[in-house]
Amino acid sequence: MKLTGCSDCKKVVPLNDTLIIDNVYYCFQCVESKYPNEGELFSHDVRKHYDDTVCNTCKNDFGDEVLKMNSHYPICDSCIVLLREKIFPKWVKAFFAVLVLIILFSFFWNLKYYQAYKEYSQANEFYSHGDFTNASKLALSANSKVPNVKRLEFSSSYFHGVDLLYKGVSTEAYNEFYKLQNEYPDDNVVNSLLYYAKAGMAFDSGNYQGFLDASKKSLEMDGASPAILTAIASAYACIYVSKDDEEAKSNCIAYLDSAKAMNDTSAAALAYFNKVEYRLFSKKIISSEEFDKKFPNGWQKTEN
Amino acid sequence: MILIPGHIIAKFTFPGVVVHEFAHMLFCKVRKVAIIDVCYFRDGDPVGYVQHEGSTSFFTTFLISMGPFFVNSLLCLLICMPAYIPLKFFEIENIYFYFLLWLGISIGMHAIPSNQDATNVYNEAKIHARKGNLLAIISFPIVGLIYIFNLLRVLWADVFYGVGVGLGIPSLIFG
Repeated sequence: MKLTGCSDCKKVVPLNDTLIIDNVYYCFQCVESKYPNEGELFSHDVRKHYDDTVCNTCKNDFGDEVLKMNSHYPICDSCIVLLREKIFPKWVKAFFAVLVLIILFSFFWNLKYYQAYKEYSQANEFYSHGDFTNASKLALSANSKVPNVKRLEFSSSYFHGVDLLYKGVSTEAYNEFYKLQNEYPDDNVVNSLLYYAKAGMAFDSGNYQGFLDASKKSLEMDGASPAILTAIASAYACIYVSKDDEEAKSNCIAYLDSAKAMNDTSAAALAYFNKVEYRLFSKKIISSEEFDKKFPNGWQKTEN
Repeated sequence: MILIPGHIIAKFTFPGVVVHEFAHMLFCKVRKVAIIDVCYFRDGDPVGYVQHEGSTSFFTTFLISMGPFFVNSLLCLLICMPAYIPLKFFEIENIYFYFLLWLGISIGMHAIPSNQDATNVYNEAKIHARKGNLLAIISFPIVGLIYIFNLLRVLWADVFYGVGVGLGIPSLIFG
């Protein structure tokens, strides 16, 4: 234990029984007599110098041995162990270990849901820009990552069907939409696309009146869109070419103008307009695939 | 509005209490402030506490008192986030996801410092604001908000905060 002298009464007292007021050591007794009201000390610089040979926790005197410090407080080894156990007990360590494991496990286990969500969002983005192939690929990938989710199953079939439609593979597209229609019989968009696919099948078989009827039915189901209006224009173009029907030609131009007026500037829409214009001008009925092969950069009147 | 006694809420949301006290303790350690006593959870009032020495640094006092706000809010978000997309977006019902929500929201509910924490900041802020400490000046409205929030706990403000952080922030991110 360390001792020190009180500046006031001159007694030698344990260091821990003193306070330093304005850099002068006072024993507790003298502090109490000099400053009976605690408030009087507020205007002074008051500090305490702890004896580093006496544990501040268990109050044991360690003679001349200098103890470790817990911030400003001397503390013996056994109290350090007890304090550590109290500050961060085993059950709290276990609690946090479990918490960290839960966070890590949840993060990795649920990663597939976030990847599927990202792919789904990107698929919608591609779809809105008319890139149906990439939309279909990503929706399919999202659905394979998280199966049995209606939203993903729907978008996967839907985007795939639309992609097939635009590639001119109408029968497969029809099958996709037929599956969807069984699950969502009241969905106007699906029903409209089913007729749209039917129109494609009618075109493939050379039934141009059937092509026109199915396209108009699609328009009835889902309202006007550039794709549906262009499909009707396309059907009229086929009737014009096959029957040399001038009225069909006028109808074709009218529907095409209506489609263009809707300001769809997607690549898919522009390509479709171009195909109908070619059919009307060249009086040739070729499939979408043949057209793409023949005019990989699109068709212009000056080429003929 | 159903009034449920605080100690029952504390028992049901005990992970939040433990994390709250841990956050105080953590910032004591970070700022090298001596800890005198810690209780992470008990059947009493308060349900948990950390006793530590005072500090002459206002930043230290502020960090120790506000520690739970940062730690609990962050953990709430980290735990709820993985459950958000499968539950909300894909509508996948799984008890594990609900467990994550309970755990995350329980922790988030105890993010706001107690009135005692606010008082500690207020007492120190009065001294340090006079010396022109900007953080101390900013602390006054923060302390006011903490008092108001703690009053509103009877109207389940803590639950709203937990749900807001655990589900509201992911919904802002993911839509």
